[in-house]
Amino acid sequence: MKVLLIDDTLSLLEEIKDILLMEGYDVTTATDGYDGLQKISKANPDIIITDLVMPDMNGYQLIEKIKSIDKFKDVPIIVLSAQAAKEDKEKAFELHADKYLTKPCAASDLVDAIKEITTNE
Amino acid sequence: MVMKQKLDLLVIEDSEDDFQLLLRQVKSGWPEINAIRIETPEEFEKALEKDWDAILSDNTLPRFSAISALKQLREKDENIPFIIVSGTIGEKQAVEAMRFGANDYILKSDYGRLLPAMQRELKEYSRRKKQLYTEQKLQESQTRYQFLANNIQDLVVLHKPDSTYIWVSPSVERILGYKPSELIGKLHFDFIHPDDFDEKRFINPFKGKQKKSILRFNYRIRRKDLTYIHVETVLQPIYENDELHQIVGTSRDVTEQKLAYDLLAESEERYYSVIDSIAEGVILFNHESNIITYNQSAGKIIDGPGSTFKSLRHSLSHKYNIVKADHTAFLPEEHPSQVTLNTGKPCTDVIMGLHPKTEGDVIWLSVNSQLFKEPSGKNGVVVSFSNITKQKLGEEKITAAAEELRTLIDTANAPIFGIDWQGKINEWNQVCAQITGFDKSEVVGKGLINEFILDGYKVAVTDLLKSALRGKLVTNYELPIYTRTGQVVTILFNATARRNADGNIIGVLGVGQDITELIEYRDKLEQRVAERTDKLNEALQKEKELVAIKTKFVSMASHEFRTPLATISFANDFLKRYFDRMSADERDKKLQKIDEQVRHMTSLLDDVLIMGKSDAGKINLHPVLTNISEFCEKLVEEVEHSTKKTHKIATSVASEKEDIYVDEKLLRNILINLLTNAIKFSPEKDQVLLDVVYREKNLTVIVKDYGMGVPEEDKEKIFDAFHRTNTVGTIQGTGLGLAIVKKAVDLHHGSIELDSELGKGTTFTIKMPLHYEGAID
Repeated sequence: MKVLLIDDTLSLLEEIKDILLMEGYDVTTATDGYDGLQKISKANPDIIITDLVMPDMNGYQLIEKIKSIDKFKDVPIIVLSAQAAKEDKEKAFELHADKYLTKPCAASDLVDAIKEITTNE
Repeated sequence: MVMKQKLDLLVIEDSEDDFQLLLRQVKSGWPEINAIRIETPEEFEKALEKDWDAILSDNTLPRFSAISALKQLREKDENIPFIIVSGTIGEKQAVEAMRFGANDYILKSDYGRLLPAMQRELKEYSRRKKQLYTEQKLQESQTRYQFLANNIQDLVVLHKPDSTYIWVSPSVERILGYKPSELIGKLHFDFIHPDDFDEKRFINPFKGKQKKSILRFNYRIRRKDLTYIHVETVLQPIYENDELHQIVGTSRDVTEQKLAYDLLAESEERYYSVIDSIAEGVILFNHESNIITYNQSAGKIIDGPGSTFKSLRHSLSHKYNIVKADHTAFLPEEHPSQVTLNTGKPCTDVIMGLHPKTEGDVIWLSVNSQLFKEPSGKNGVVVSFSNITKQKLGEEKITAAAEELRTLIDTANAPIFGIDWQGKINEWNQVCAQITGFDKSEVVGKGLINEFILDGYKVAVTDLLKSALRGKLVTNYELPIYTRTGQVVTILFNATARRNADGNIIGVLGVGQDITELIEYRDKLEQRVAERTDKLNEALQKEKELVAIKTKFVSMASHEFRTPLATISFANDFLKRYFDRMSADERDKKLQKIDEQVRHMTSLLDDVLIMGKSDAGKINLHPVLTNISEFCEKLVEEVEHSTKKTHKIATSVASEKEDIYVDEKLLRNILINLLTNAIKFSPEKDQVLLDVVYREKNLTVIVKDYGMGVPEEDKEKIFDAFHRTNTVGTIQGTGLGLAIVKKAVDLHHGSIELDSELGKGTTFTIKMPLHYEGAID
């Protein structure tokens, strides 16, 4: 199972990656939207986990782009963001994000969410 | 007859001696003799132009003779005595002379006879002259009477006591249409109009009357054509032996006069009835101020109903004290009737009050007086008057009301002024005087606009007063006016048209209040409100900004805290979940990471607290004496260490003094943030510069890097909290660093300058005045 993980906070990116690796996922990391888009083809992810607030291309823009690419438009997306506001969640769901997790969350929450989404498919 | 005292004697004599002799003979007969001697016919002719009492003549003169003188004389006057005095005269001559009219002749030898002859002849001459005069007069008289009888205008009759006509003047034909002969023998009574025939008066009219009585009658008499004419007849009796013998009647046709009189009487009656019926009282006084007549109204006004002549006279002189309009006494000579009588001038509308001496209300009269001529030719005075008690009382009430109003206006506790149509002041009450310093007497008649209104307001106030004069109500107008001292006071006034009793606008009345203090107060208040509003707006703006900042801050802070928390959380979970599968190194690494994140969060929290404090104005300067070189050295070391010595901080400190007073905490914040940023944003480089200079109480700090630079569009926002430029990429930061630097510099009233070029590097220059010498708390 391949995961594309995008977050501009390197320390956090590393922690998540560590956890996913331990859970047996194949992880590709990117530090912003552009980075994510550049790496997506090569990563060919089964699931995408992305932050929202990032420099250059933020999470929303990234999601929009991904949804516009036929090959990846059906790849489930989990948003992991420090934005706790209701509007941010709604906006993410409007863009067809599949799950919205607010930082900080437990590692189990993230792992459960991945499992839940991939199992459904 | 009385002898004339003076004898005018003409003597015809050629001898002077004989003339003197002759004079001597007659001298004893008259006290004075005026005698002239002549001897020629020419002289005689001339002498006869005068009157002479007697003429004496010599018989024969060389060129003249008594006979020729006689001839000459008798042609003119037959009666002057002419006596011939001759030395010799024959009988024949004498007879001849007598025949020609000589009165006597005397021989010179017989002078003794001269005087008696002259006296006799003069007496005879005088008698003859008188007789001649009487005869002449009789003749004239007869001619006149005849003329009179024929031309007499009046009807003259002679009748018997029983009125039988004896003689009737020819004028009867003209007056009555009868010929005199037709009336003789008829009874005068039969021609009198039956209505006018008063037996008692007409029959035996002179019975019991004195003999010389003359009686007058007015009656109508019938003409031949059976019409009647009015005659005025005077009867005069003729007595004979004490018996009434005949009566002379003279009648005059007075029909026209009678008709005129009737008309006059009628008109007079009408006039009297008019005079009586008018409400105005009229009294006629004669020259002695006695009442001649008066009308009913006069009696009623002065004396009350049922007035009589006597009671009116009594009332006028005794019933009242007469007073003037102001209730002071009328002096007798001031009465209009007296004034007019004395001066001849009429009086009009004189107000007189009749104040009853006993009791009752005052009767007020308006009195006119005018002269008129009494039939006697003396001046009388007609006094007319009307009862104006009601008007007067009404007037007094109105006057009292007006006075009250005037007092009210004058003493009202508000400025009240009035102007007329020309804009001239006519009211100015005490408050106006008090406010402006100008007394009423000074301003009345002056133009309100020109004298008192400020230049900038003249047009507006003129328009305003004009519209008030047109009847519009002007309310709450602020009128600035000059005072005596040149100050300006503002009156808030209402202006209304002032009308007279007929409702016509006669001016404007302004009622106001002095609002100078109010205006000053208001201006101050407005100023204060404006100031307060500005402050409030400022505060509000600040508050808005604060709220915005806070909102942004909270949102940012929450975001900034959540990320390291997430890292900690995941690291922690990792330890828990995979503890058994981890090596000791891996565990240490995770714990170290947690530690790192906690420190990051702590510094973030510190920054947030500093921002919060500074925003709340809770940060004060705490300068302490510091060795600036050592301070910088330590700090640089610390920064290098915390940034894992990726960069060398090239430091230069130059200070006038070794120890200076600085707030270490704030300077530390400034330096750490600037240096950390410089290092953070020049990741490719290995050096940044720090220059610190203290000179003349000014601290200058320059931090220079050779990094990515600040984009132009971000240069202004770079000092905002949580603003991070797009160029920062994944470089960690709280977004508060420069905001904190800015706050710290602001606290020192210093300046911060940014000089940056993309890709070349950034230089921050900070200048802070350090005024304090000692510690300031």
